Amino acid sequence: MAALACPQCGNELSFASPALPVKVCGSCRSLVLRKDQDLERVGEAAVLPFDVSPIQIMTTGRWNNMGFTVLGRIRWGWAEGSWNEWLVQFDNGSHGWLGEAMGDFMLLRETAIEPWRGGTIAKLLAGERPRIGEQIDLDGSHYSVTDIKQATVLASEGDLPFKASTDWSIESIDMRSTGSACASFQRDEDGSSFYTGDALSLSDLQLKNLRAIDGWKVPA
Amino acid sequence: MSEGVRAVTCPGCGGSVDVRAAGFSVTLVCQYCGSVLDVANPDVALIEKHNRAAAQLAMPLGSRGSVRGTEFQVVGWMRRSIEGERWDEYLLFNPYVGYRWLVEEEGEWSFGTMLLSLPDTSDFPRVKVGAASFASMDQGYTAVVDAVVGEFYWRVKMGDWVELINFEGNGATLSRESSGDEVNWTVSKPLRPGDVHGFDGGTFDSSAVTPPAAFMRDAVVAENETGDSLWPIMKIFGGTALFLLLIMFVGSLGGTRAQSFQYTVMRDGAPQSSTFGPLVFAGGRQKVTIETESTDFDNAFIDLDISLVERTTQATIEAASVVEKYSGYDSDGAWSEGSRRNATKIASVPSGTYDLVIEAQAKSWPAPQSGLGYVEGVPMTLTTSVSSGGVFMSNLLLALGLLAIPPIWLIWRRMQAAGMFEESDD
Repeated sequence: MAALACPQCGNELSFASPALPVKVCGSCRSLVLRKDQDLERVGEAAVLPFDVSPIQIMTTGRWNNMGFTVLGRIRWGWAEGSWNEWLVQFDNGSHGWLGEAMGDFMLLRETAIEPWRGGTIAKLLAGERPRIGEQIDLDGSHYSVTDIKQATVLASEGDLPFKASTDWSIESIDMRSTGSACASFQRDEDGSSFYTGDALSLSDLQLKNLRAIDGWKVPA
Repeated sequence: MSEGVRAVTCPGCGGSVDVRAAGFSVTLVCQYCGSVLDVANPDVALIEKHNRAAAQLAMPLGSRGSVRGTEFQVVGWMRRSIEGERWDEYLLFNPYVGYRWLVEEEGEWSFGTMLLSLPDTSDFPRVKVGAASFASMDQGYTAVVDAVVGEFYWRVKMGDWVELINFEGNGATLSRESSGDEVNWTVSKPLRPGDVHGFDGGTFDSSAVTPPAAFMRDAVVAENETGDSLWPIMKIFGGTALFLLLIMFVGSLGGTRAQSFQYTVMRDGAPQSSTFGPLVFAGGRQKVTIETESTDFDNAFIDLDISLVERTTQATIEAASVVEKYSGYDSDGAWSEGSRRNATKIASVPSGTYDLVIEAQAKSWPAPQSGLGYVEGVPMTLTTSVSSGGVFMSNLLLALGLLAIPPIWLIWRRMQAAGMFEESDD
C-alpha cells in the first residue's frame, strides 16, 4: 500500500492496488486519481445518503472458496430507487462487484465480451434494447432478462477502478437463470461491459466485520 | 454504531415518521394521514396527499418479533384481495437478512421469501425451483391492493393490481406476480404454532398461528405415502385385472358393427353441439357402448353430454363422458394421467331409430394463461363410435372380486409376517 496525501486537504490516502487508481478522500470527499506517485483531484463525490446496508468498507467474506475484502462502493440511483455496488478485492488480487438491492446480493466479475459476440450480446453491443423476459443462452447457462434500468451515480466511497463521477449514467441490463447464475450487461456512450456471477443472500457470503446497525444484533 | 432509522417529516401532515429500511425503501405511506411519500431521495416528496387514519394493525409498524428463530421488524402492511376475498401481508425487514412476508388469510399464516433465481417454466403449468416441482391449481387471478401503510422497496399504492398465479407443491406455495414488464416469484411456507413470537402491541396472538388448511391436507397425503407399501402387490393385481378387462373388451367387439362419427371442437372454445344418425337398434333391449377418442392432445379435458333421441317418440336417453389426458415431467421423471379415449355404456336401450346428439367442450387444464406458451383455439378432432353389446361394470366387478382373492391372501400373509396382529408393548 502506498500512502500519499490528498491534493485537496492533505489527508493521508492509501491505495490498495494499482488496478484501483481512484480514491474518494474520506475527509474532503475529493475524487483523487493516482498516476504513479502523483495524485490529481478529478472531481468531488457526493455525500452518501443514509442507509442501513450491513456492508461497510473492510467487510470480508468468501465466495467460491476465495476470500474477499470490500474496498469501495458506488451508489446508483434510478427512477424508482437506488442500490449499492460494493467493489471487492479477492485474495488473488482480482476484483468483483457485490451488488446489493432489496436485501439480496449479486456477486459479479467482469467477463470478456469477445466470446459472446454472437446472438443477443451482439444485439446488445449494437445498441439494441432487449425485452424483459428475453431468453439468452450463455456458456451453457440459460438466462432471462429480468431488469433494464437507466442508472446514475449518486455517490461513492473508498477505492475504485474508475472515476465514478456523480451524474455519470449507464444502462444496466440484468439477467437471471434458473440456478444461482446471473449476469449484468452495462453500457454507456463510451462502451459496454459484461459481468457474470451468482445471485446470493447475505448468509451465503460468510461475511465478517459487518457494519453494526443500532437496534440489531450483528450475526456471528 | 450507526443509527438504525431515518426520521422524516411527512409533507402531508407534518408528522414524524421513521424509515426503518433506509436506502432500500422508496415509498412510504404515512401512518398518520395515509399520504404516499417518495423517500428514495434525501428530499422527501409528496406523491399523493390523503387525510385518513391508517387501520389498526394486528402487528403494528415497528413491532418486532421472530419467525422461525430470526428476528424481524414490521415495516409495511398491505391488504390485498381477489374478487373480494381478502388477505393481509406484513412486510418484514432485518438489515442482516433482508425482506420477508408474513401472510395471513382468515387466521391461517404463511411465511414468504422472494426467489433469487427464476423457476424453470418450460413445462408450464408445472414449474420447478431447483429440484422442487410445483403445479398450478388455478388459472390465475387479478389481485388488488385495497389498503397500504408503511414503507416498501417499490412504488406501491392503493388500487395497484398484479396478475397472480399460485403453484402448489413440496408443502409450499409458489406465487407468480406480474404487472407490465415486472415478474416476481415468491415461495410461501406454512407457519405452525411456535414458529412466530412477539410482534406485540396489536391484536396479534402468536399462539393462534395456524397453517393454511391446504397444507394440512398435503401433510396427511405425505404421511400416507410413506410407510411400508403394498404397492408391488397392488400392481400385480391391477395388471391382471387390466389383462382380464382387455380380454373381455376384445371379446365384446365381435358382437355388433360399430358406427363412427367424426367432428371437431375448438380447444378452450364454446361448447359445440353435433347431431348424427340414424342409429338403428333392432334387437329388443340392448346394451349400447359409446366410445369417444381424440388423437394428439395433452393437458386438456373434453366434457361430453351425450343424448340418444328416438326419432318418432323423442324419448331421450342421456349419458355423460369425459376424455382427459395430462402429462408432464417432475423429479420422478415423466408422468401422465388419463387417456385420450373414454367409453360410456348405456344398459338398456329400447329398439328404435335414434339420433346421437353430442355436446362437447374442450378445455385446457390448467386454463390457458396468455403469454405462457399456450396456443388458443386449436381444433381437436373427435371420433365417437356407437356399438351395441358393451361389457358391464357389474360383470367386471364380479370378475375382479374373484381375481382379488390371491392378493388379499398375500397381504394378509405379509401383515402376519410383519407382526401386525401381535400385541404391542407400547
